[in-house]
Amino acid sequence: MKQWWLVVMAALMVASGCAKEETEQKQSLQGTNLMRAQTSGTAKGTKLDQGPAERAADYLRRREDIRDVVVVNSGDRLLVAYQIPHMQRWNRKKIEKDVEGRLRDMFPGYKVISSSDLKIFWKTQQLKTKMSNKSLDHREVNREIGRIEKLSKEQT
Amino acid sequence: MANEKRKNLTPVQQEYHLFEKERETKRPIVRNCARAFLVGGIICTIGQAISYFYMYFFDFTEQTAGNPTVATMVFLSMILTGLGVYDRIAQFAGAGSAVPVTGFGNAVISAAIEHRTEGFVLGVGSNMFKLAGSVILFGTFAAFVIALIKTIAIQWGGL
Repeated sequence: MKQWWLVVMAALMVASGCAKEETEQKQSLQGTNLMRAQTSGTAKGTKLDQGPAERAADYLRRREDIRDVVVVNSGDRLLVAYQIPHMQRWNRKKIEKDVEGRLRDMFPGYKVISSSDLKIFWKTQQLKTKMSNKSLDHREVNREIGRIEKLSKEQT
Repeated sequence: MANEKRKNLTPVQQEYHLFEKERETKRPIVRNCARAFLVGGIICTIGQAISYFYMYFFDFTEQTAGNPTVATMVFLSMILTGLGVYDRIAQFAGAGSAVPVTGFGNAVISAAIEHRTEGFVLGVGSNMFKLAGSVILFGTFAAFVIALIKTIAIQWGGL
């Protein structure tokens, strides 16, 4: 009697473990479009120039240790949020350091804010969608970037 | 018992040892491990869901969501212990329910319940951390040792 639900639970867990990460993302709490970046990874529809953001996204997408990327820039600030593949998370600190260093070299005039945190990724994704749908001005984007930067530095 | 030690036993003791071994109930180790893995996994899945909840609905990052998640899990296990549900889960899962952080909440509340007849101060107050005290002590000590090893490795090992 007691055993049948144990078997069902075990089968369910094994089956869910076999799911691909991408499918899991789609089914996860974040909703349908929040997790998945646009193909470009940048807010192309906005009036603000997103050239540096597109270049940064192109570079990061080519890296094998990065799964998904969202980049937004405004003024002299470049906000980069990316996801590290699950098994690569062992090298998270190393990847973060490397990405930060390379982006600083690529964009010397910019203040690079980069994070591999999922929350920062969601927030940047939201900002990017907002920039694409509504016409946000420099000041509003800067304020949002500042808010996300503060959140990314939060320790407690 | 190791053969070396058995040699030192008297014949009667050796006989008793064999007698005991024959009649001893065998522990279903594989089944216990499977149960612990399953229930421990379910508890961790719930913890992950709570962590995502805090990240999604509040301003917590992956790094900071750990604190409220742990607090919530401990609180939930305390409630379940009070209601007598966690005891049943523990009977079924064994280490699967004791090793996650929920086991800490269970250890605190079960000790408090056990000693409530001795009064609130000398009973509940002094015995509440009877079991959880060792968890705190060795947890803190282990953290200290790990931090020490890390510091040494960074300072001299160049990690």
